[in-house]
Amino acid sequence: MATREAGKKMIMLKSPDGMEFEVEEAVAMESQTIRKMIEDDCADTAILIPNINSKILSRVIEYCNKHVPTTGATGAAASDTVAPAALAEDLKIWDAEFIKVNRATRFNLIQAASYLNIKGLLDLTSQTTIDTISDNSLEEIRSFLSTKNDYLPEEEQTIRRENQWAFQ
Amino acid sequence: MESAGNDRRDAALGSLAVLPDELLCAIVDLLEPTDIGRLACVSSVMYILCNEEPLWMSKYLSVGGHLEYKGSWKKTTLSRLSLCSGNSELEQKARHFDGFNSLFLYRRWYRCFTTLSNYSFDNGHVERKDDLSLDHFHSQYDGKGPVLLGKLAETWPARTKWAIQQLVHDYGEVTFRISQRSPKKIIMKLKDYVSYMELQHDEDPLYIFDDKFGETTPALLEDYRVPHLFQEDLFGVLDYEQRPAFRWLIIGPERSGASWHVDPGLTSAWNTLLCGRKRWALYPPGRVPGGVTVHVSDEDGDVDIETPTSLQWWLDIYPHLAEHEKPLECTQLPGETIFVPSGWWHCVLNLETTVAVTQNFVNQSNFEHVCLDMAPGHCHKGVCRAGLLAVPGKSIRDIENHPPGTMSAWNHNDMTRAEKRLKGSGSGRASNSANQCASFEFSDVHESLENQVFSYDIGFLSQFLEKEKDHYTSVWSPTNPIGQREAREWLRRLWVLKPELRGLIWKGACLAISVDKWYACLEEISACHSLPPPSEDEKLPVGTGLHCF
Repeated sequence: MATREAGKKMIMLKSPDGMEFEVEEAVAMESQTIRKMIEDDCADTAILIPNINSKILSRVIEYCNKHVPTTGATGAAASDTVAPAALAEDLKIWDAEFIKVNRATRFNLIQAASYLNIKGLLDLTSQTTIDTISDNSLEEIRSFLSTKNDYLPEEEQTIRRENQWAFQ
Repeated sequence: MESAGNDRRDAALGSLAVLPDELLCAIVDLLEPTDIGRLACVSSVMYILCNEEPLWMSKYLSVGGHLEYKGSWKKTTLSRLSLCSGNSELEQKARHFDGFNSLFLYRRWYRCFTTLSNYSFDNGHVERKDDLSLDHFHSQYDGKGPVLLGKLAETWPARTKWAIQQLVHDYGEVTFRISQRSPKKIIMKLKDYVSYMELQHDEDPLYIFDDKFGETTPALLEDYRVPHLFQEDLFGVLDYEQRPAFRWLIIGPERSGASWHVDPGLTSAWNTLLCGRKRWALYPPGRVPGGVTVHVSDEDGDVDIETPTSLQWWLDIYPHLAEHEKPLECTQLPGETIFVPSGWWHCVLNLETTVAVTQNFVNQSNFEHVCLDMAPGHCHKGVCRAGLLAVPGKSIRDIENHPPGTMSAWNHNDMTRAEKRLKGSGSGRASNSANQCASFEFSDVHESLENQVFSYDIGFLSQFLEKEKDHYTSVWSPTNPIGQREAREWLRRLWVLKPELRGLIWKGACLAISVDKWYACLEEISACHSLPPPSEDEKLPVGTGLHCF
């Protein structure tokens, strides 16, 4: 995890439940939404992040901290010294651990990633949902997503017929 | 608003119900077609999300290829992927489910069905002339501002022959290239394209944008001629295969049109409309339109523009612009030719079905800009497009902290930012003057730029060249219109074939390939070996340059 170094510009992020998080500007700028605020000088003091509670926001910051490109003393990207493949592999394992959360948290993370415009996090969190849909039976999908089959019986039959191509 | 009569949503979406519709659509878009087909069987709201036409259009565009539109994107895509053999399987009646509504889906639907026949606008700010003398054009407009010309195409056969029905009659079986945002190539027969155009209700319809029409259909070249004002084209000294794409046939329906961009390689362009009306918006060089972001890679100078579609820009951003932030605007009528000078931002919206021809060119007025844009490095490319917003001195802080590879510059893309900008620019950000040829003012840029105002003048722009970057050893930007070797060949040919322009060509060659450095080396080598210095004709380098230094 990136450590705080003297001289790095820090940004204060505030959740609506009153918690404050001091993060490096580069970490905050993993979010395109925050990045645009900073670039437009809208971020002089603290930035209030509406709709994202402190529990979720702290996870988001954890993700950004891990994914921000780190720079060494010379300013060269760390990937110059560490093999990029190894670095990517390490990140992948970290991501897989990171996403082991309950469903409610995952959906909150999807929304946070979307609002804050963090593409990597959005892809990571959406993928789990996609995996629950891909290659599963209708009953499995319904059970994974707690979805109610709200079709009338004859309606369901017609729709199944219409979409027969998807089951072959 | 969305909760009213929306009792079906929660049960039908289950745990996904916490996500807004926009996000649900984005997630469904990540699924494979067969997964979408199966998800549609899960519940009613899933069915709705899985049958959205924009979803299936996006699925098609990710595949690309030879397109035959089947009346809907879902049918077209399934047939393209051979997922459905018989058409009968796909006949489905429109289904309606009470108890679900979505503002997001409604707004999108509304954009798809928007008609633009009353969306014409012209305040006369782009001047209209019947014709101009070449001298008048060079002194008043070339490199200075756009102008509409009414009579350049008066005698073209295309004025009568390039009507849609006539074109289908004459060239229905010919295959044309289609422009789209996805990287996959799409081609269509003209008759199929016209049938698509009539049937579709896409928000951002596909349009014909074909740079090879002159080769596939040489007869079309007989129907128009390059207007006398734009005959000089310095790329013309290159062989046809070597020169960058320079002429396009453009056919597109209402709602289609090119989103905000600056023409490739800082060339200038003329565009003549044969049918329909096009609404234009333009900003002078260096003034990035609201809602648009410019990325210039600091690795190879690759230029990337992030922008909403034309229609989205006009519907969502344009109405919020204050009077002094508005672009220069006009509505081009059939028969009119618009001139777009080098470096000008522009965006086009077709108000009905249009047929147009456009050509890009390099003449003496933009030659140095085109050369400058070929030079290795990224800073000058950023400044030519985004003005002083792209100057690193302004954003040393940003560059230290940013992941390498992007530099962004933009004005604003929503109301809050627009308002903020209107409040003034005390913090040193750009402020646009009310003048149509607005320039950027800056207060906190590094010393050498203090009190400088952006200018598209070549002297101003060339100070942003990265002088330490060597032409032979630096990466050539992939977005440059021609390759490194072709560029040298181009300049060498100009040198030989246009001796009367040598003063100008030398300046351009210094910008593009540091020819002054190369020549100094040559002189030194010659002196060292007591050889005569290179002759006047030999001053420009030839070949790959592998052994030059």
